[in-house]
Amino acid sequence: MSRTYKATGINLKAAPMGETDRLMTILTKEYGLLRAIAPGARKHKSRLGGRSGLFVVNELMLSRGKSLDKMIQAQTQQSFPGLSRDLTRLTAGQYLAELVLCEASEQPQAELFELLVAHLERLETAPTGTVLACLAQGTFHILALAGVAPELHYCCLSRTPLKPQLGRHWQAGFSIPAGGVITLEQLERLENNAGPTDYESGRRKHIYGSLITTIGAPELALLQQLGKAELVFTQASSLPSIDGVGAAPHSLWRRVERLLRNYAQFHFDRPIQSAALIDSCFASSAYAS
Amino acid sequence: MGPKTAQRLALHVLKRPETEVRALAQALVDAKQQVGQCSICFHLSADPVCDICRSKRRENQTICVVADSRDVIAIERTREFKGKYHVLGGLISPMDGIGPEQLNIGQLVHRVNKDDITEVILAISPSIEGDTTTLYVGQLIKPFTKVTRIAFGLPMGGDLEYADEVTLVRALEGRQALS
Ligand SMILES: [Zn+2]
Repeated sequence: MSRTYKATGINLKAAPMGETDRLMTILTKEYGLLRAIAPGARKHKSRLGGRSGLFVVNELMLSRGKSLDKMIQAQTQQSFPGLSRDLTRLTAGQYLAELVLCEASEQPQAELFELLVAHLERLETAPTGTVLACLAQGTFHILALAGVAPELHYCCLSRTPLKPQLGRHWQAGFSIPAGGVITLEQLERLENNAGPTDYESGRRKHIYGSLITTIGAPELALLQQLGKAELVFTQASSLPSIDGVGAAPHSLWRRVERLLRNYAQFHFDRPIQSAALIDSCFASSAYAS
Repeated sequence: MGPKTAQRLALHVLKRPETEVRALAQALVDAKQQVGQCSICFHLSADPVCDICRSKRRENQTICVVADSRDVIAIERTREFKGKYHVLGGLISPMDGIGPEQLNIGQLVHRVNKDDITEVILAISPSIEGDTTTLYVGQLIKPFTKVTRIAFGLPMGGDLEYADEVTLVRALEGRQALS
């Protein structure tokens, strides 16, 4: 086996190591998640300096080491300076990176790599006010690629199709342990038959919040569109229609993001650190909806 | 510190006489007990207010904002800057649980608002996290005073052809008219 190998990867984490090195966590197409040292990357004249930054995509040449591999060369293909334009973009980008870190393995991850890059591009250029919608869709796509996206079109328990009735007081249930949406009847049945919760779901409920909740028609209408390749934004109406997702008010996107977040945290059994800042970014009234 | 450096230090300590080793241990304990943060600028200091903040010879109207105390030491080595500092205590990085609340940003806004500050220089290393921090802090204090940021680009003595793409893009963006 050759001592050196090539890979294309995006930097997801960089931590200072030793006097001048950086310890990198990189999502590569060819080898999935790998950790490698970028020697001397914190020195001013280092050729790895800028290339070892967060979210920089590089063509890499690495050498195998006893415990950690080393970056020998890097050629930058892409970076995302636009994510530093405001706090919400960086936070949303890191949020997706955290999900990817939960999901990625050491197997080839070309699809996950492409997906993350595509969503970071969207976050970078998204018009102000649509960042949260882009984040929600990125979250959904990443969950879907792992095969753990919530079911949003059929009741998980009765298999009844669920079509949100906009404009009326229509409701459905959302159960994280059941795997997605459920009809209101199933929700009531679950609530009435709630026996003693087992230790494991009790523990997760304690950490990640309520596992079963009701959702309204606008939330479900938004959720059901997240599986599409792209969201359609219109300024025309204030309620989500099939074509008018972007016009949904912020409060609605916050609820959608919160549902997906709880769902992802439960599934990966890990808190998303960036989420705390998403809450404060969007809670401030300064953020126009 | 890498494992090799640590080993070298350990071997050195083992070779020295016991009295010296005791003095070193005591010095470490003293440092830990005495060194805290300046209550004004958050630079490392053995006193409640650091030497720089107390100095009468330094300008009070300019504040240089840095991420870390090490950056203060680096800028002080240049002997170029005559104003005062403000140490944020890190960079915004939501995935590491560091938001604006975890940094000394509120205290900076208070300082700029309260004192007669004519310029705030943001001297934060360029990176996605660094730039986000710079822009965030800049927007908060812009209503009160003039805000500038240090220039970024190629290192002195470095060859252009060896510069990485990210640095080159920054250097092009930060270009200046020849005067
Ligand atoms: Zn001070």
